[in-house]
Formats: sequence, structure tokens, C-alpha cells
Amino acid sequence: MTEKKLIEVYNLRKYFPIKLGFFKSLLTSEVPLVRAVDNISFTINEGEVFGLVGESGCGKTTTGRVLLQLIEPTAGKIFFKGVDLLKLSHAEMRKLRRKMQIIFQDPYESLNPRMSIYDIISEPLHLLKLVETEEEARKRVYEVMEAMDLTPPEEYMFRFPHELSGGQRQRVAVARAFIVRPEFIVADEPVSMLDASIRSEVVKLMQGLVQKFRLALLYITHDMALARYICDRIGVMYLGKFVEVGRTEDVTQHPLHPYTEALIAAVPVPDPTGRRTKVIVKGEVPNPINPPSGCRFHPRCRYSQEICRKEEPQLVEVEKGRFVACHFPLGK
Amino acid sequence: MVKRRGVSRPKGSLIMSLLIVVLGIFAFTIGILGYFLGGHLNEEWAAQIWIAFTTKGIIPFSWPSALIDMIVGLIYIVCGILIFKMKHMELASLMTLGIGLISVFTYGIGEWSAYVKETVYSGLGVAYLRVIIQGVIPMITGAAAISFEREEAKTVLGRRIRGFWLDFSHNRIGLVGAAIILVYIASAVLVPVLSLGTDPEATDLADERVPPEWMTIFDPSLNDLPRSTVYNLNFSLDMTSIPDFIKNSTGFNVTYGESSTILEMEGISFPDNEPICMVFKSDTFNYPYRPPRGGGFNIQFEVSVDPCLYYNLTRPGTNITRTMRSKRARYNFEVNFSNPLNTYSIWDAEWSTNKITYFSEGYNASGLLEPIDLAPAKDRLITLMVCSKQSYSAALSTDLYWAYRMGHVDAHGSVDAQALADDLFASKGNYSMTMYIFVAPYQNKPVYFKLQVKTAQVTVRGLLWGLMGTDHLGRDVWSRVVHGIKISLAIGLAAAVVSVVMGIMVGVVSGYLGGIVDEALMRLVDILLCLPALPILMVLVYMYGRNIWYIVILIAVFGWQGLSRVIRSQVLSLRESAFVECAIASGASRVYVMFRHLIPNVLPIVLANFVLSVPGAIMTEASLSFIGFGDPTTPTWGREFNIMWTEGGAFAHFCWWWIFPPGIAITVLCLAFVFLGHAVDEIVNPRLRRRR
Amino acid sequence: MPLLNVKNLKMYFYTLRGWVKAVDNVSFSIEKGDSFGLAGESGCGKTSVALTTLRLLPSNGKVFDGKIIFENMDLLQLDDKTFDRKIRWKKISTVFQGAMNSLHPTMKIGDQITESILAHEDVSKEEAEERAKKLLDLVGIGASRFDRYPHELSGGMKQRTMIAMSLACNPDLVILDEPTTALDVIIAAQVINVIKELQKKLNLSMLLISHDLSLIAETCNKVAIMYAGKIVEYGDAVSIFKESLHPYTTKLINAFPSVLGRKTELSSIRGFPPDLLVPPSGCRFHPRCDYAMDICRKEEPPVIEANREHYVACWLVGGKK
Repeated sequence: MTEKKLIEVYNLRKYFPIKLGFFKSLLTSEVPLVRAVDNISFTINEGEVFGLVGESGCGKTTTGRVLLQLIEPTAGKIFFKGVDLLKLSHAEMRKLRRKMQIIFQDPYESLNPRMSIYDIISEPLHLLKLVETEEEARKRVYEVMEAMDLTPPEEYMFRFPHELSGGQRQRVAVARAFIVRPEFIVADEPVSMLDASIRSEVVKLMQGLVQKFRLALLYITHDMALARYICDRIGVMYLGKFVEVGRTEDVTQHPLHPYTEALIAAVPVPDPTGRRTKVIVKGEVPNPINPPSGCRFHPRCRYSQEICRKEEPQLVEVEKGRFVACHFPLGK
Repeated sequence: MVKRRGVSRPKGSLIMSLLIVVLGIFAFTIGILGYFLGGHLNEEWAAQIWIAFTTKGIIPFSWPSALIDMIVGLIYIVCGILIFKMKHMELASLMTLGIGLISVFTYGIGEWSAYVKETVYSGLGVAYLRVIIQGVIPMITGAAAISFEREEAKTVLGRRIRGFWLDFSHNRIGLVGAAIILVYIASAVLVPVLSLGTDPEATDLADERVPPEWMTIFDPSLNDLPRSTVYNLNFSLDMTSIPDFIKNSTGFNVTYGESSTILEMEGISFPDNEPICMVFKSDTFNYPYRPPRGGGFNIQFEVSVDPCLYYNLTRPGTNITRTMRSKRARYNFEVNFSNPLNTYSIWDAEWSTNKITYFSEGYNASGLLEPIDLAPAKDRLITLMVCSKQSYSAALSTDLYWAYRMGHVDAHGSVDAQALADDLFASKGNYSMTMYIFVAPYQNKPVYFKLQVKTAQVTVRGLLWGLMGTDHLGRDVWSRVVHGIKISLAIGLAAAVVSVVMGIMVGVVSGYLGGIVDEALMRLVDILLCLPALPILMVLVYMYGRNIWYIVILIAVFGWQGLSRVIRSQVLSLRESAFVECAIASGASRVYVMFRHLIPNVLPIVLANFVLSVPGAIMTEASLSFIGFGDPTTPTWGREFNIMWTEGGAFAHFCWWWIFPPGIAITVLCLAFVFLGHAVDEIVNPRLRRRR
Repeated sequence: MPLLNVKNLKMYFYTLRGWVKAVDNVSFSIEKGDSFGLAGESGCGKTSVALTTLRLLPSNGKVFDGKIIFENMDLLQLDDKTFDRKIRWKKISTVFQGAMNSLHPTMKIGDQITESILAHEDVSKEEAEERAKKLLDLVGIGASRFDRYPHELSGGMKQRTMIAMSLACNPDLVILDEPTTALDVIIAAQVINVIKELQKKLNLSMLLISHDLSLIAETCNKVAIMYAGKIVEYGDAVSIFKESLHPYTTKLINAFPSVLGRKTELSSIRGFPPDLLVPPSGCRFHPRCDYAMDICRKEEPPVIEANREHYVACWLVGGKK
């Protein structure tokens, strides 16, 4: 089966300048930058779920937003079905917006508290002028609410967000993203603020949509266990760079990068007899303004050596579709 | 690529929107016309159109009304266009409905009150035409336009209202506040009924600064304080005073009319040249009170005489006829006033001459002039007058000459008015007036004499009045307070609405657009904050006179800055919200985000702020009017405070019935708004915080 | 003798629309040295149990029935003054949800711990500071960070500071409510590690409240599952996870993805948690249960001891008279 490339990202960078204090800005001409996304490249195929895994501050949320052009990238190229997004005018980009949508992390913030659920879900239809009559809009809202298991729709349509639970709100957010039949959705930690027991429902609903409509999904998360469940391929990010990319089972069962190993070891397992020795990484994620020299992970890595401090490892393809950026990949 | 159109318009909304736009244009044109004409009144043609139309109630009277018409017209036009383009239909139709309602309220009350006073408008029907055109029709159209909204929107609106009511009905303080405001609004609408038809500007309803009548409940001894009464006394001829030769004569006639008694003598020959004295006795009235205050009474009578014979004279040889007049009687008269104890002369036969004598002699060096004590008229020698038709009337209360005759003028020429009143109304009982008419022939010819004695009026100004007494001009305080309600409400609401609208516009635009727009608007806000409002008002008043609209404009212009800052900071945090980003991800424009996402989320705070700023506006107006910058022609409570300060109601005399009612009224109204605002605030804030 | 014995606790919240039955006839016991996990969805009442124990209920919460027996005292019968003096923080302390946001932003962390010691015990300032430094070492932050301000610490460190503060007066029981919810996975693992070490070193008794069964599986030796204000199953951690008896427990456990082992199908529980204003009749789980029987709709199942130290409230398992 030929896999058509939907999204192609090349050398994406996004740097945020920091506001200095008044006097400091007078003294220095250099503006310190937060290198949130520092030269990443990847592709997503049609109908594929690509997981972007990492801790807070690694740049995954920024990547998602940049893909949707909610933020302007500092450098790099983004292609959607072969169209260079950065060269489009505002109006042309608007036409493409129908095909790309986003789901946010916070179910409390992503719904306008003053709008009814019906208005929230039907808003993209009206904004993108996809329906001609009110009946059509109503029909599509009903359809998508049933797909999200918010039945009976009448019971939820006229409520306001504060009357729904977190899980229900997140389903509304998914419904809103999906009603325009996009081809690509960025899901930015969609379930991390929900109860662990509800997560599976929302994730399963999203999986259903992916399988039924050949939706491509960029699933951003810090939970390796959940990423394993839903993603086809995973890219692990650390401080704005990829450290490992590959198919999910490969990455989760046979990690090559010490950071990936640490991430997997840190995830608790729902089995009291399954406790294993922890590979705990010391320290915290360093300040992204002044990343460590050489390999960015070296201060926390338990395998680090002299060269790790001096030279930054490149992302190399060690097998087909399997990339790692480490001088001493595990198991090799 | 097919250009997508969006949801199509429901049938009928086209007519609605056209109607609203047309009405808006109409209102706008009238406003411009009124404004233009008002500025060119020196020109003849303008003045004529002006008078013709304003009396029919079509063109607004003053430039502020014209301005309001223009603004209302513009709002209607904008709303009509929005409904036509199917954007923000809910908002547009609600605004049309609201403004229509307010117009009905404002114009309706104005027209009704004016109609009740029968002052301005010549035809009720035409006056109401404007109410209908600018108020009722848009209101109905706006309501109908709402019904075109989607089913879902109506259900959601219903739920919103129910949700709000559910929260609100549990807040007792809020309910109290709302109830009080409703009572005030009802009072404002029912003003003509409430004030019992009394004109708030009618003076001398009772004496100045008198307490209310219900004081007798607390102090029964006040029961015999005089109440405002007008006694109408008809005079009837005492036939015993008429000699037989007149009584039996055919030329003698007495007619009793509605308001006068007419006596006629036509060609009656008198046996000798001696005058006869005819006595006219008035009705008796019972005066059950204590004497009124000095100057608090009035005795008025009017007598017309015509001692002439009229005949037609034709010039010989022509057809020219002239009516000639020939004097045929000599007359004089005197009027007496009797109370149970004494009878006083209130008009003597030498009145005019004596008056002149008194005034020319002035005050003599030795002190008081002796009062004149006239013997009864019958016993005195009366000089009879000869003249043509003449009419005499007198309204006596503190006439200097009369006071001098009664002995109540001191060496410096000041009248002891109280002594005068005490003498005249010395005791409770029956009072009456007597008129003595002296008639004698002129040159021995038959007497032709016509006499008309109009109904005399004895007016006593009460020392107790009504529900809330009187002010320094004898005006009813209760009706003044009641008339002030609608003005205060209107001012408070108008100023609050303007400041809220400005605050939202500036706050949202500057918060969302940021950058140089934000900087510019915030600097504008800073400048306005630094401008001193009171000196500006003083300059305006000095240059253009006092006008209630200056105060309203001042409060509106200087009242919105704080709110705009608060809204701006709220918008700054809202624009980072996920739902705004989602809207942008679906292709929303900046204007859409502002109207659909930012403003609705800002509204709860705005609502609480709005309700809480109304009492501020009312108080500001009251304070400014109090220190004298208010409009002397508009009956606001602040003006009451000003008057009672300058006219001695508050400090010279403690007129609690004048001081407390407006004070209590304004305090309770402001308190009610604060309660309501407090309740709204409580409802609004928990919802923002309401998370699982 | 159990350290904490909760018997038939009934606590309802009063709202404008009626009484919300947040904790309805809950009973469990914690022995000394146990780490007891209380699991369930949000809104099932588990935090309310902790609040009731520590007398931190909001003004509209009212206890209708039950006993909380701690060291032979019924905590609910004590007056406020005795409770404050004797129990709170000295015998039972707590680390709440989002506790790291409870640190005073303009006070040094060492001073904050010292302050909590001085508030409850009569010791000198130097001694309190010494103890604070030892506590900071214990949780792995290090006495060298005594003079730091909260904004200089990361999320995980702030959480560990709160844990240190909860240990300030050497309590017998520590209640931890969602200790790792707001933290990244590696930091959370560090905090879990600290908790497990403290358990071993101090023989600490712990009540861990969380919606994350994986966390509870890692740290607790006894587990209770709550649903809609009631305990549906509780017992030894191994038997609960391996041989769960209540349908809810089974589905809940299978709803958690595992990064190790075979990749299995995740289960999901259809429907939504019930409204505690008007909870379902009979067994509160019956509308969402795949095995609901007639009796489940009518009568509430009693808690029975299915196996040794394994209690469950389900008609499927038994309890019929």
C-alpha cells in the first residue's frame, strides 16, 4: 500500500525572543532566545498517527501550533500535500484550514463558556461556510455528536460547558475539530487533564475516527503508555530536538536512546507484581535558553562520556524508518 | 472553486430589516432637521416651520433631543443592516427591541406628562405618532426578528435566562434591590397619577415652607392650622336697603349670574339729589382655623360700574351714526370684611385719594402715622364720583396703605404682616363681606347705572399641605420629588450605558489588537483621566449656560476609563484562551473573534459594573446640581438640594419635609442599584470560577 | 489494632438543588505501616473522605453518620480545639492536590517548613531549622536549598517540599491526594520514588488518593475502589489487580494502558458517572454495568468478604440472603 505523504516538515525552527529588563536591554545588543523547536524534520502519512512524546518544555506543543500556522516559524518548511504552507497568502491559508484542525489539552479552556454546545460544535461550519442551510448544520452536528457518543444529542446541545464533565467537554472539543472533516488533526495532550479512567474512552473514540475516515493525527503527549496504545510511529523530543524516531513497538519495547529508556522506565504500570528496577534519571530538564553543550541530554545521562559533552550527535537512520541521535545508542 | 455563501436568509427577514432601516433613516432625518432648524431660528422661514412642527410633536425641541434622535436613527440603521446580512442577528434584534422599548418609555412618559399638562402639544394623536414610529414599531420588529433566529438559539436564550434567574432568585439582597427599582420605574411611569395631578411648578399652593398635613397625626394641636382654601363669595343685594321708589321702578333689575351679580338702573328718577346706599351682602363662609401667616392670605374683589346712558346720534344729512355716551349717575362704594369679632374696612370711598395722601406725606418726623379709623360708611359723608365706565379691583394681602390704616406699619415703613393676618382672621366662625354702593343722580337727570359685582375670593394659604409640604415658593414637594424619579433614572441609565459601551469598545479593541492601537487608546484614556471634570463643567456653564445635557455628557465622557482598563486586562488574558485559538484555526477573522468570543465573555463583568455605575452617575448629577451647575429648568433631585440650600429650606429653617424626601429617595434608589449590582456580581464571579 | 478505622461514614454536601451524597456509608481500615490506596474517578468522593478526616470540609458539608476511629479516639466527636492541638499535623498530615501551588511565594522554603514545625510544637527556632534541614535531605532536595524561594524550584521539587512539610511533626498517618497529577512523567517517578523510600525508612502509614491506578499499583499494598460515594471493592493490592471481582474494578484496571508486556485492547466504561444528587437506585453502578441483573436495580449490595481480606459489594459475587 503506497503511503501518501500528508505532512512534511523540514528543518523546522522556532525561537522565542525573551524580554530583558530595561537596563539589561540597554547594555546588551544580543537578545537571548528560547530555542523551543530546534531543527526537527519528520513526515506524517495519510491515515497515520504520529506521536510526539516528551516532557514539558521540549517543544512539542509549539511544533503542533506551528504546523497549523497559529504561530509563525522562525525557519524551515512545512508542506501539506505538497503545498508549501509558508508561501501561502492569508486567504489561501484560510481555505486550507478546513483540512487541518487542533484539539487542545485543557477541556476547561478550549470551550467558550458563554456559548452553548451546539454553537461551539457548529461554529467551524459557519466560519468556513460549509453549509447552506440551518438544517444541514443541525444534521451534521447530530452526526458528529453521535459519533462522539454524546447521546442523546438534544440533552447536550443546549447545555453550557460548565454543565459538562471534563471527559464530556473533551469529546465536544473532538467533535468540533472533526465536524469539518479535516484530513489532519493535531491533538495536543487531549487526555492528560482527564481522569485516567476516562482517558481510554476519548482515545478510543479518536482511534475510531482515524480508522474510519483515514484521518492523520499528530498526537502530542508525555505519556508513553498511551502513546504506545494509539500511535503508529513515535518521535521522542528533548529540548527542541528529536532524540529518537521510529515505529511504536520498536521504540517502546527496544529503545535506543537513554532518554527514551528513562521515559519508559518512569511510566507506572498497573500491576503491583510488575514493579521493576527503576532507571531514574537525575535532575530536571535544563533551561532551554542555555542548553547544555554537545548532546543536550549528557548531564542527566548515566551513560554519558567525554564525547557526549563536546559533540552534538546527529539524527541518523540506523534502520529503515528508525532514527536515533546518540553517540552510544543502547543495544548497539 | 465555488464561492461558499453560508446559511441563507429566512423569508421575511428582508422586510423586517428594511423596515428597521427605513425607521432609522426617518429618525435620523428628523434629528438632523431639528438640529438644523434649531440653529437657524432667527430666520423667519425656519422659525415658522419650527413652530408648526414642534407643536405637533414631530420635531424635537432641543438640540440634545435632536442628537438622541440622530443616534437612535443610526443604531436602527446599523441593526437593520446587521439583520439583513444575517450577522449577529441575536444582538441586533435585541438591540432594536431594547432601544424601541426605551424610546416608548422615554417618549411615552414625556408625551403623556405633557398631555396631562396640556402645555406643549396640540394634538395627542400626532404626539403619539412619534412614539409609535420610533418606539413601538421597532420594538415589535426587533421582537419578530428574534423569532427568525434558529430554534437552537431560542432554546439556548431561554436556558440562559432560566439559569440566571435560578441563581438570582436565591439572592435575597438582589431581589430586594430589583423590587425597589421596579417600584421606582412604575412610579416614573405613573407620575401623573402618583402626583395626584399636581403641577410640580405650580406656586402658592400653600404658604412657603409648610409641613405636610399628616403632621396632625402626631400633634393634634396642629389641627386648627389653616389649610389652603379659596372661598368664593357671591354678593346678593339686601333688598331692605333699596328704597321703594327704586324697587317699584321698572328700570330696576338685579340679575344673579354664575360669577357675578348685575344690578341695572335704567332711567330711574330720584326724588331728590341725595345718594342712596345699597347693601350687597356676600355669602358667609366658615373659617375654622387659626389665623394664617402674615401675607398668607388674599382678599380679592372686583366691581365694574357703567354710570352712562348710551344713545345713537345720527349726523343730520348723513347716514353716519355714532354711539354717544352721557353721564347719568354719581356713585361710590365701600367694602367691609367681617369676622366674628370685628368688621374691617378693606376699601373705602376715598381709597385712591387717601393712598396718595399717605404716600406723599410719607413718614412724619414724630413717628407713626395715626391709623385711620373710619366710621361705618352709612354714617359718613361720602364723596361721590363722576366718571365713565370704570372697573375697580383689589387684591389685598399686604397692601402698604391698607396695612397703615389697620395700624400695622412701623416707623420705618415695614408692614407687620402677621398682626394684619391676626386681626383679620382673629377668630374661628363665620365670616362675610359687605359692599355698600352709593348712587345719586347726576345733574338731576334720571339715573342710568349699571353695576357688576364679581364673585369675591378670599384665599387663605394653608400652613399644612399635602404629602410632603411645600418649598419656598409654595410648590408641592411631593410632586416635585415624584417628577424627579424619571429624570434621575434616565440620567443614571443614559450615562451608565454610554460609559459601558465606550468602555467595551475601547477595552476590547485595545486589548485584542495590541501594538500601536493599544498604546494610542491607553494614552487617550490617560489624558481623559487627567482632565479635571469639574472645571470643564464650570467653563461650559459659563459659556453656554446651564443645561442638564452638559452634566449627562460630562458623566458619560469622564466615566468610562476605569471600565475600559478592566476590560482590557480581561481581554488580554482571554485572547490567549484555547477557544480563541480554535476559532482562529477555523478561519475566524479578528472582528469575529472580538464580537463572538471576547465581548460575550467580558459581558458578565460589564453587567455588574454597569449596574454599579448607575448610582454613581445619579449621585454625580445630584452633587453637581447641588453646587449649582445643574439645569434650573429640569426637575431633578439635585436641583431640589440646591434650592433648599440657597432658599433657606435647609439651613435657615429646618424644613425636614423638604430635605428628607429627595434625600431618602435618592439614597434608596442608589442602594437598590448597589444591591442589584452586588447580586449580579456574585452570580457572575462564581461562574467564572465554576470548575469541576 | 488498625491505625485508622473508618466506619459507615456518611457525609453530604448541601447545594441549592439538594443534598449531594458525596460519601455514602464508607468503611475501611488502615493498619500501621500500610500504604492504602483509595482509587476512583473524579467526583466519586475520595477527596471528600480525606477532607472529612481532617475537618477541612467547606461550610456546606455535613457529616450525618459514622465514626472515624484513630488511636482509640473518634475523630468526629472531638471538639475543634483538641483536634487542632493534638491531631492535625501531629498525628495526621496531608499533601493536597496541586500542593505545590500552596507554597508561599515570598518566603523561603526552609522557613516555611520551620514555620509549620513551630506552629504545632513547642521547640526552639534552631531546633526547628535543624529538623527542617533534615527533612529536606530526606526528600532529596538537600539542606543546601534551605534558603531558596519556591519560584526557584521546579514542580517536582515543590511537591517534594510539600511532602517534607507534611512530615514535619512526625505524623503517624500521611494523606496524599493526587501527589503526581500535575507533574511530568519523569518528575512524577522521582516523587513516587521519594514516597516509597520514606515508607521504607520511616515505616510511614499512608493513605494515597488518586484516579491513576498505575500509580496506586506501584506504591500501595492495599487498595480500595470507590464509585459514586461508595466503596465497591477493597483488599490486598495483588488480589485486587489480579483477581478483581467487581465489574467496575475489572474495567477500570483494563482502561489503563501498559508500556510493558503485551499490547492489549483498552476497555472503556460506557456512560458517565452518576449525579450524586439523585444517585441510581440499588447498586449505583448498574446503569453502566454489562452484567446488571434485576436485583442490582432494586437493592444495594452489601459488602461481603469474598476471599481472605478481599471485600466486594456486588450481587454477582454474593451477598444474597
